[in-house]
Amino acid sequence: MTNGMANGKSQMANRKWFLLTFAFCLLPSAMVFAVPPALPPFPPLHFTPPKPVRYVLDNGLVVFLLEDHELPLVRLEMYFQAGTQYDPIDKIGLGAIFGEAMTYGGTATRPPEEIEKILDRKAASINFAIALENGAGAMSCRKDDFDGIFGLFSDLILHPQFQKDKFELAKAKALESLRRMNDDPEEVARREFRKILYGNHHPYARVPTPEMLKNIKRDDLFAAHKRFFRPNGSWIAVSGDFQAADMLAKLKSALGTWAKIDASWPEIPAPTATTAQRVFYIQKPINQTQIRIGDLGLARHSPDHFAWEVFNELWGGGGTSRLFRTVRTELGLAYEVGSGFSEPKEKGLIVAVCQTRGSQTIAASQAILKISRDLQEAPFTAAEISDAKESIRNRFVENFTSSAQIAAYMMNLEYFGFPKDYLDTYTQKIGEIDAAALRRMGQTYMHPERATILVMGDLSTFEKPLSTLGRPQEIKLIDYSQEEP
Amino acid sequence: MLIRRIFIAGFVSALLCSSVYAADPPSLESRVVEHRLSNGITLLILERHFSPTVAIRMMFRTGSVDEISGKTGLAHMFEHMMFKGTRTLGTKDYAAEAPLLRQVDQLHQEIDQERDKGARADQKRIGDLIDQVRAVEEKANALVAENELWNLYEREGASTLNANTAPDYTQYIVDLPANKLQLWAILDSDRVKNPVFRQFYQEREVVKEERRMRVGASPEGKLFEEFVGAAYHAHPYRNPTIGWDSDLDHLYVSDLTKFYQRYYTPDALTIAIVGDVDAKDAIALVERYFGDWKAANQPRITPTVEPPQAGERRAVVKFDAQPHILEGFHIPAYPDPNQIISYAMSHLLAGGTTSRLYKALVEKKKVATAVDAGQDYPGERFASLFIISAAPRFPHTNDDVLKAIDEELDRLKKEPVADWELEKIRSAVEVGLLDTLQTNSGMASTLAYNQTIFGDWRYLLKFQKEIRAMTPQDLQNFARQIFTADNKTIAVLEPAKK
Repeated sequence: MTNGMANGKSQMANRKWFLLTFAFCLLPSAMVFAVPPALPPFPPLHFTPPKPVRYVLDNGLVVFLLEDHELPLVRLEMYFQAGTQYDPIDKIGLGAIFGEAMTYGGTATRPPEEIEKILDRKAASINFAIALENGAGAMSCRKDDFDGIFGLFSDLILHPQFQKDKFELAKAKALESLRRMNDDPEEVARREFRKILYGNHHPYARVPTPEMLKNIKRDDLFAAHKRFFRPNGSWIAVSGDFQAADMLAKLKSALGTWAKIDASWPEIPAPTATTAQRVFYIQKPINQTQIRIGDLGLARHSPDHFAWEVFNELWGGGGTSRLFRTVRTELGLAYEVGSGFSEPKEKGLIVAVCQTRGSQTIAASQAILKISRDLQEAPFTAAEISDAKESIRNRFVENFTSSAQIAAYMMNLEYFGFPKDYLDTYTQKIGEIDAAALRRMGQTYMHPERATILVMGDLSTFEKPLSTLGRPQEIKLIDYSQEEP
Repeated sequence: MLIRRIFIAGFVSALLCSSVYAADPPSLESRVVEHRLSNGITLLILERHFSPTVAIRMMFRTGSVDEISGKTGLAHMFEHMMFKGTRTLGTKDYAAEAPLLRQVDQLHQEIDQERDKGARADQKRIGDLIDQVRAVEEKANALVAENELWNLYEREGASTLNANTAPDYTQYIVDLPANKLQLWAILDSDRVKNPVFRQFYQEREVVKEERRMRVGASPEGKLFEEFVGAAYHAHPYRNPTIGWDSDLDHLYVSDLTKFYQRYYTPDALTIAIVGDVDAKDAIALVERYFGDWKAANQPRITPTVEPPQAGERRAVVKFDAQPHILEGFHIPAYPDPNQIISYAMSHLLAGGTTSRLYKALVEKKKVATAVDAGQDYPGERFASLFIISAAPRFPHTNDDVLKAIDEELDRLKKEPVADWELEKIRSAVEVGLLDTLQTNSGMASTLAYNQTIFGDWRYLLKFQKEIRAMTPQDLQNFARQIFTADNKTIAVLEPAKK
């Protein structure tokens, strides 16, 4: 549920996006079995997941607490308003460096070595990171170690030092990642596909240059900290073995006097939709081609969300989806094939992903395009539709398997502005999706004639010229592998 | 480490998750219910009632170590075929399908035998056979009810349906709403007892794609394959679990059948069920559906024992990627005490930012940006490897990194480790098990793994006890015995010239 593309890496990839109803009851009557072996009726599943208690401190800090005494552990997660999407235009990469430098950079009164030693001796962990649309903090420890570890965590929030050598190390690591950014074919395809659809400079797709990284100063991190860390722009979820009243008192005592600050954030530009099919390729001497075919799709809170979720399940989301069934099971063209989607604030991506041998590149691409064309009219059988909906509804409960998971969900929903009844109405809304709604999804989003196609592999091994798919444009990868420190 | 998930055929990235095994919350011994069926199946159940979900793991004590020369990849191929159904599942008419499947297999073997004659091959005969097999395959495919097992599981709410094959074991993974436990018992007992290997030759192509993804196009995968091949000359750990290309081209349904009879036996199966179930009901269910399964009673083949290494070994891989190194040392298998010490050693060397190698390579000498260590790859049923993995930081070279590692390993032989480092290892082990216990899936895999590999899930508890009793001397002895020049294998990835 963070952002970033649910990239269709496997049929499981986008499961995490689904938020579930909060008290629900799945009845066996929903199932119709027509296939062998004859299955017995299953007992109904009743479940009312425990609900975290929500508090708002005077300074605006929102707190979710969920007690769970099964194991002597405490887990704390934090969201704060931030995001790599806000990296300054000449300092892209700031967010990535910020997270590591804050985590390991010590506080005003505690050197990094002291903190890391305490954490490792207790097998506790503290981590800060900046994702595309949010900042995230996390901490976990044994119950008996909580006071000490939380002391470090709140000290880091209030008084981080980004100590110089840790800051330099974080920068050096970021630079080394740039040198290595073309090593993993799947990572390259994912990155370049985003750049094509959003444009190189869009906050959802941009990549730092070595100059930008070198340009980042320690003062930039202090400035970013001031913007990112505000009680009235922060959410904390604590779960585990504690008493809620106690925990609330501890949070208040450590963070209650943290002063409110107002902040404003730049708008993220809406990406521009394409109007004609485009074919891009990257020449790389590997024996397996990466194929991505997709388009801009849905933004967060789109009214199409539920219908699209069902549609995606049928398109390439599951083991019985069209993409999986045709490209993998019937044709044997791929191990990884499927579809995924992301829903950030502005439009996200919908994409079919496949990896196949060079000599089947065109065949696999055409198979995917044909499925997209066929699905424009959503010719699903009633059984297919019902199975897809059942599948989504039935697995819903798996998203509430631990107190940490539940507390984090609640925080995530609030941070991203989901309606208050989102969870309570989730399975019902999935249940309401019918053939007409799916047809509308197909007509709205399945447009192979204006899809963007990216193929990365060894062109000399393709069974037909790439121009079979359309006029190909080459993307030359930027190579920073010899970039000096 | 066991707790790692659903990895793959083989390159379980042992090194990526530094091993945090296991402590024993005192209640575990009494909470895990153990039941043995008369046919030899071991059933382990842990009730956890937080949410109405259940994680089920079926782990067979068979994997790629049981493959013979020319048939590598068979165990993993078998795992894929376990998703193709049974005599009643995945078919529209098994009676009509069965003879066609036999014909398809026969024809494919004939084609390959002719092809393997090379220049002397009769091309016309090959062409005819291909026409024949296509025709029969078409008829057979018309009788398939495609992906029916997937469909049933997914429709009924399986949030995870997967499997993985390792050198040591093969694991089948299902996470379900708890009211569907019986669905699992029906479907999985059927596929264990009556598997039908339909659509085999399409699936073989899928697996070849998987090999391309994991090895062909992956610098890390390729490096591991070469590394393990250099470290082992005789034991089957030398072979990739995904299989060699030419072997994949020569796997047939008849191989699967033979493998099934020899290695898929009740006594090789551990079932772990963790979640919102009643142990008594679960035992009754497993007895009802799995109790009548009989072993085929064929003897297993004992894998070749790896002879001692007699000097340093080295492999070089050229790839369109940046440099990387792997360094490994043979370690003994359980119950040798050094097997357990090896976990402690990997945490000491590469667990967290206070670890020896991180401090030295990443922070002080600045020759690398990342370093890892592990001790359970390729496996743990047989003598394994202690592996260190690192990526040089430009402009430093693989050799700079290897030299820095050597210096740290030498230091361990001379100076005893500090008390706080021992404390760190003990904490990691204790918290590691608590973390595992937080999820049904983690716990189910852990129980199944320990039972399968070490013969008793209580290895978890023994492990914790021994780590608590470990002394600095134990670690020093380990370093002196294991980290020797003659016991070392190095693999380096060097950028290919463009």
